[in-house]
Amino acid sequence: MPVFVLTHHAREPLEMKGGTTFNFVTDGIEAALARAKEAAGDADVSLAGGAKVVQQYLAAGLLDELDLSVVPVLLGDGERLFENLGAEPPELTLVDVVDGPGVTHLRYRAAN
Amino acid sequence: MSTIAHHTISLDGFIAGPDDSIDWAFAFGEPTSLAEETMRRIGAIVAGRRWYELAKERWDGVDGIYGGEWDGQVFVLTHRSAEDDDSRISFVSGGIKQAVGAAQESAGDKDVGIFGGSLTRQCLDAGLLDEIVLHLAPVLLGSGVRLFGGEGAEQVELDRIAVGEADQLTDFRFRVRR
Repeated sequence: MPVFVLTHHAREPLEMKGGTTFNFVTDGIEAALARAKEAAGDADVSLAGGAKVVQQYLAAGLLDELDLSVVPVLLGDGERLFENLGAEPPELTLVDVVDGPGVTHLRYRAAN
Repeated sequence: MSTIAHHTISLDGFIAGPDDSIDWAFAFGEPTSLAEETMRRIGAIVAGRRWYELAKERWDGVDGIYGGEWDGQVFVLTHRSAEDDDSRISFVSGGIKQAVGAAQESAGDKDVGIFGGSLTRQCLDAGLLDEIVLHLAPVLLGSGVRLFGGEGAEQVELDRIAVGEADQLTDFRFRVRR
């Protein structure tokens, strides 16, 4: 599966034995998404993170869906997923709740 | 008899938005069965000074709690002395433990509700919180009053004991492991 890695340092694609190819993209989130969409064809593009990357795509209105797993623990400190979202974060609609053992999976659709 | 933090919370973790707004919380469906059940369990409430000032100014005081459906005594934890004509309001200045103790006595066989982010965290830190009931709303507020986290917050393990879906809200009931 092709993977597009956002970075400031250009380098050649890295092909792994398992079939994954890491492509390094230096010209921003929109360019990376365009390349990933082209590679995905009719399939969807998964945004793996981390938090800062998700925030950039959310703020730019480029994210269509959020799949979250709520784990019953209060960490107290750490990296927040939802921060730096700009003046107009997307509107969300809850489309699915799946009650797993201990974990709750939530799916939201974003209207950009 | 339990102490319960009961809040509607945005997906990004706020219980009030910019300028302490809570209007957003009513845009995603009617109060759920878990909300009503929790309200019925609560016999007295501990709230903070900030809640008190806002409730008097904007939310019709005690009459605005749970849309006027709730009846009981509200214990307001504050460092500044205060008086209120409403006999359902009591001011407590001796700290969170004293406030929760007074509320427990007033609640009798019922449970104690904890209102507000700061009080919820104080109760968690003091080992006084038994349950967290949340109605998760599909909205990103961006800023406001957070329920969890903050300076020096410790990790706390929870057990999810109920989850439910009601319109656009997701209901959670957690027990605090201690």
